[in-house]
Amino acid sequence: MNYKPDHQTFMDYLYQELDQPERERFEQYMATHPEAQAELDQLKQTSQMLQQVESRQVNQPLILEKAQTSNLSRFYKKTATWAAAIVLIMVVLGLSNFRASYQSGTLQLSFGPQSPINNVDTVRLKPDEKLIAQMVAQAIQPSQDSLYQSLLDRQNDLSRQIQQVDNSYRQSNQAAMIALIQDLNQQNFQQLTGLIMQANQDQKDYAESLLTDFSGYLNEQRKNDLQLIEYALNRLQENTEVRQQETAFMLTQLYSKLNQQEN
Amino acid sequence: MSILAEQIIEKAKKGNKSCLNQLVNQWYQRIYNFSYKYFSEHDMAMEVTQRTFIAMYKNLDKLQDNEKFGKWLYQIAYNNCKEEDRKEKRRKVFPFLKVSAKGDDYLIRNAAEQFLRPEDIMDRTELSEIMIKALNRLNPEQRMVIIMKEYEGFKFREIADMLNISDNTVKSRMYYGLTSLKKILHKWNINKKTVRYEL
Repeated sequence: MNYKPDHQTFMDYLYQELDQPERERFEQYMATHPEAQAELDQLKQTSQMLQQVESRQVNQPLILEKAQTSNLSRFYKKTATWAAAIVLIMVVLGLSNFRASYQSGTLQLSFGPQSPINNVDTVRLKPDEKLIAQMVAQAIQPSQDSLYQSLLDRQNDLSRQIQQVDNSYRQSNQAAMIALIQDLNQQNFQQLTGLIMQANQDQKDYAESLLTDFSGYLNEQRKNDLQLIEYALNRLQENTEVRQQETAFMLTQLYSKLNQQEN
Repeated sequence: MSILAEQIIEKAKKGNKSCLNQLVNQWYQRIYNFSYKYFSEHDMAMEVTQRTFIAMYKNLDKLQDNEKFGKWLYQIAYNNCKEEDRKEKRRKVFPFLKVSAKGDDYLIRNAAEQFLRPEDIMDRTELSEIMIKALNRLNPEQRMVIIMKEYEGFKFREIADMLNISDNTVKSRMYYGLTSLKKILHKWNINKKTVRYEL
């Protein structure tokens, strides 16, 4: 039996990729070759140790999620823009009183308040309609004239009344103003008089207090001067007495010496 | 593949954003973990994952067979991994000690790591991280085959299709990859006794 498994066969056996007959043959060989069995065991052990490696958990950055979000947000943004534009146009049309009508093959678009004149197509008035309008105008002319005249009279009356009221108001207002000014003058005079009197009184009080203080100061000064003079006189008197005593003592001594010399 | 999954892919191909998002939700964790195992760096894995899904978004309409969506997506991820790997090698520097950030964890690798006792390593990181570190020591071809086989559960034939290589090359890379890994783990004194896992 010349069978000797190569490295490839070892690997196939180790990872169960060997077919059945080949597998049996390999196992028979292993049974009779302990050194080959030892080698297989070591490879198996290494493989098993490799299986101890644990998978690492990693936070997945959603690289494609961002794209989707941005697409979605772009879609929503676009839809919202269109919706806002449509709403804005409708609001503007509503505010400007937009009207659209289709009559006798003509599309009419108009804005602004609906004028009654606009509704009457004057260009297309028929002759009898014009006549009716003229007759109506003639019929209402006298009443319009009288109404206009009465309005004018009324306006004149009102103007006159307003003028009278205005004059009387001005006159009464002038007298009131004079009285007010006099009153104000009187009040000002009184206030000024009061202020001047108050100021005089304050000045008097201040001068009086000043004079009192000054006289007090002078008295105090005089007293101090007198005390000083008295002190000086006392000292002079004392000195004089001391000198008299000394003179008397010296004269006594001189006299006694002269007596001794004579004796 | 279920009919629902098929419909989701079909709608996504027509530009349905909701279905595209569903696909992202379904596959994001898997592609991230696939990339993370390859690079063992969160930032790189995130970069590859993002690129993969951007490519999916742009090129989904070119997918001929909806049944192959998963493989197609992994193929994109694999190409992005290779691309990032190439860029990384171009700007790679070799410090005496390389400090790499993993969230709040900081691991001192290379020289320092080799002198650590397994208990110390276990204190600092989970076995999962150690295994990913060990995977990262393998050459990129072996690493990719192991990830596809062990974690994504593809058959050797499928991996060969995705990587555009022969079945035997895939199996050889797998065999030598596992052997190298065994040696690395042995060097770090990591085995079923020291890791306290029931193997």
